Amino acid sequence: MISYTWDKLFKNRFQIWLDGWLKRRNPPQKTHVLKHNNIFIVPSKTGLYFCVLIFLLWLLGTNYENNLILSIAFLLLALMIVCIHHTYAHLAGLSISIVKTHAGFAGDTGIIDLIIKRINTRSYEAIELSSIVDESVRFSLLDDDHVKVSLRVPLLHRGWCQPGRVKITTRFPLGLIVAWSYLYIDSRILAYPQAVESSVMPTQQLLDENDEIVHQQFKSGSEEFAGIREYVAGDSLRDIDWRVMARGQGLATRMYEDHMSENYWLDWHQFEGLSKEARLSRLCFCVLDLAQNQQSSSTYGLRLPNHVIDPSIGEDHKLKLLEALALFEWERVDRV
Amino acid sequence: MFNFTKRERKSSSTSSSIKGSKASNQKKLQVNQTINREVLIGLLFAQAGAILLNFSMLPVWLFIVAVIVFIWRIQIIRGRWPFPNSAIRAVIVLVSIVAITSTYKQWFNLEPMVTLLALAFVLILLEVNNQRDAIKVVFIGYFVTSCAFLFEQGIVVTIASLFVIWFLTACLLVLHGSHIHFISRRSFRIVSILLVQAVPLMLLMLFVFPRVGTLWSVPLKNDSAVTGVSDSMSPGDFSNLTRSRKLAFRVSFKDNKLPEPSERYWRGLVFTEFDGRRWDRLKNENLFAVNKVNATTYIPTDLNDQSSVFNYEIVLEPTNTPWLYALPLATINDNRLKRTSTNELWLNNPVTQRIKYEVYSSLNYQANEQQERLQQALSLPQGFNPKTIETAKLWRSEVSSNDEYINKVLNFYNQSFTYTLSPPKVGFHTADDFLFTTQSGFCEHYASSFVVLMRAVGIPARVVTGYQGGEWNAEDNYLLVRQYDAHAWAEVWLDGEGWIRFDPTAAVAPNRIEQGGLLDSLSVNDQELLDSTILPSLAWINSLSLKWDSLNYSWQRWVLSYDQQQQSRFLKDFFGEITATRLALLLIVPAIFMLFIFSFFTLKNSMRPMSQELRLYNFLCKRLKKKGVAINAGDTIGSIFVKAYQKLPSAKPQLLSIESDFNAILYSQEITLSTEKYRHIKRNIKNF
Repeated sequence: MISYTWDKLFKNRFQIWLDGWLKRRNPPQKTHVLKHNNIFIVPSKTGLYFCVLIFLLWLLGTNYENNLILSIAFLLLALMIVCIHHTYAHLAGLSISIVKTHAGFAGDTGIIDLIIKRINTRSYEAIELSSIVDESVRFSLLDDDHVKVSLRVPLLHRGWCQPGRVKITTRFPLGLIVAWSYLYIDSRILAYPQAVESSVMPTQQLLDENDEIVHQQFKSGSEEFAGIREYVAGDSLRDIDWRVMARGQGLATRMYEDHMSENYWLDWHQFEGLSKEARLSRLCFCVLDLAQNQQSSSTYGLRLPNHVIDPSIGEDHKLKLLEALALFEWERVDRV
Repeated sequence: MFNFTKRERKSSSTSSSIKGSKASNQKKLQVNQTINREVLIGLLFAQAGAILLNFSMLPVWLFIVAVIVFIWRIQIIRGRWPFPNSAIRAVIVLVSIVAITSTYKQWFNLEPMVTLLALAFVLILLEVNNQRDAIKVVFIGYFVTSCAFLFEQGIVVTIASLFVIWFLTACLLVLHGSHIHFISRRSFRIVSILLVQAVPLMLLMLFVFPRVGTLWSVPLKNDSAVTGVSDSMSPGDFSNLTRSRKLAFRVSFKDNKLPEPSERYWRGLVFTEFDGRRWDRLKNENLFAVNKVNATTYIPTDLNDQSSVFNYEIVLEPTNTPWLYALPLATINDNRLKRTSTNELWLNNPVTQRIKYEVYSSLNYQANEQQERLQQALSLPQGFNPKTIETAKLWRSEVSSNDEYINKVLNFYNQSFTYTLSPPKVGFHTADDFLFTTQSGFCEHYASSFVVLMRAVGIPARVVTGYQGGEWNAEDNYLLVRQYDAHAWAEVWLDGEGWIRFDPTAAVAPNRIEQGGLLDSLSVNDQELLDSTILPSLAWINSLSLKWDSLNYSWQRWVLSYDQQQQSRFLKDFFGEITATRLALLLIVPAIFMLFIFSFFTLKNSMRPMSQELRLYNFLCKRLKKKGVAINAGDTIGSIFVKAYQKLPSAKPQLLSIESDFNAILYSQEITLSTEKYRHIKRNIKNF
């Protein structure tokens, strides 16, 4: 499992300084327009080899006093110079905006959705977008005026993270020159606590007898009708009792024998003796595990100091729990 | 009971469930993408072109290898054959080394090196799998293309090489694009734009970039240069030359003022030493700076006599020898050149490239000579040509003066001698056999025997070799001197007159000299000995070939022979004396200027306003303002049109259609504006 931390991504002081400098030059924004003051442009590695080739040709042409070989050497050099402009123009005029962020787990990656538009009518192609983690996405703008690109960004800590810097690069047309820009996206992305496997099991309890919906344990046989209960988000549409709904009594779910109605409570105090983050990590693991392995009728809730989420099921519920864990006593971290 | 699974939770599995859908036209980039078919086929084309450019030099087997490799590669592309494994590769490398070794005697020479490069270039095709390899192939391709110019610098090759460079650049483009096709209008357009923009910069660099001259001596080409006249002369040397139609040099005369055909003797070497069979140059000749005419040695009769002073420019084909050819008493304003005491012109290094030099020649010149030199020009080897010496002394005693004696000798030649390119063999006494037995031969026999006859009676004489005559290209006014114009003649020292040229061949075959027609002076049998190409077949073919030669000549004069000297002269003419500062300015100022212009357009274009809709709107506003419609900041499109109708009632129909178009753009469901629609609206706005 890859775990991104600040120390792994910014190995030395230069990188930290560079990050700070870039951020000062081009402060975080929701929308960036690429132009001369935020595009960097240098010969690429291929371009450096190309220079070596030009030098060899020049040497050959000079030594044999051969004007045509010299012409080719100069033509290639001129081609490279011309390419500076073409490569620059192939990045300038793009605007990059953030549309949405998708949460992830601390130490892992989250996803940001960017929309890239052109503010002119050029054709753009072979443009790469990458974040600090080494993964790049290639896109083109040929017929469409905009393109949506999803990019994985590292989440360095729990809570609200900044997406960090995004790099947009192109080597078009000849690969001799590379133009790029570092963009700091002004947005925030939620990082859930890193899940850490736990040996402590969540407490399990049956619902009170006072509860409106009465659940009974049946001895045997499956798919046998066992009654109805109030609809809870996440219940299968198949199980909805439409006749109840037709009577205007709201949505109700039909229960069957094998729908174990078990409730679990994930409790902060179960992990006595651990630090705050360690507890959150374990709670997070439990949430994920329950969400994955739950029977359709077993619900789960969360008890944090000052914050209780009643048992329920479903994807939304899971995310609600995770968010609560992510933002529990969260303090803004300003490093990334 | 609840069951906890001990599964490892993969970070990706959790995050992928959250991950949103990706846009359709983006794909994951691998560091080493495998390249697609199209690029490979483009590469094959470019490669075939680069190899074919070297056609004249590469051995035949290399083309066979190339064809096999091409077929193999195509089969790999089609998925029929596999990539070669390491055993096959090892075999291929071994076989190639053996092949090159057996083709060329030496490894360290130009041809084997270029062949090796070309071979590597061909074989690498079997390896190319990813983008990085393909870029390597393109780079080697540029180099192989350039190597073609080491052997051939004609116009055709140059144009062909441009195509190959175009192809290679297109490969580079397709390799770095994601949606561009090798054969498409877009790739054609982009590569053309790149190259067209690069050419002016290239020309600037070509003219202005400082030339440093040869940095170190380079391996010579084996057989591309025609040696021409060699540095010694023994019987039979000239017969090979006189059968070759190859170009020796071309001459353009300033103001089209050129000497009579009988005066066109292009001096090369002077042979004074004779060992009975072989003529050699004087040993230990000193080289003098050519532009300093040594006053005690050479006195031009009258430099002001402009009628005998000719100014011309020679473009000499590579000879692999360091001496040059010029009309007698040449003065050359060129530091590279040196002269010997016998008035030969020498360079420090052999001529391996076509070179151009400008000469002033005063044909009427008188030279003083050191006594030592005259003595050397009298010596005859002991025991050779006894009959010749005897006859010479007899003839001299019959006449009263040297002049009469010379006339007598020339008359003797004129009586019974024939000019032929296939003379009978002469024996030990070369002059004896020629003069009294065979009596047929060509220039070297005549010159040699003539000098022997002179020296026998105490007249200092020497043999001079070079070229004589030349074909006049009236189309472009230059003289074309070919190898079959190679000639040998004699110079005789006459007291009070200096070294005087005598050409005994002229006495025998006057056509050869006066009309410059070798062909006319030969018998039918001899003509067959010549290259069949010498014979002019049809008039129009001949004129066509002359035209082609003219084109080649200007190409060579202006493009190929632009060198350090010419560069400094060119720069001097335009910018005065060249100093380091000026040269730097000359390089930097235009470069900055061009960069500025380029940058201006790049910045302007990339920042052109935004959407097409907005551009149309701006354009409309501009047009309306021009027509006198006042537009304020707060106006909506509707109010703008209302104003326009009031102000320009006559244009109302057109404006109405424009307005409806605008409304359609702004409020219709269609988000994107098609290019046609855009153009249509723009045209309407322009025309109302």
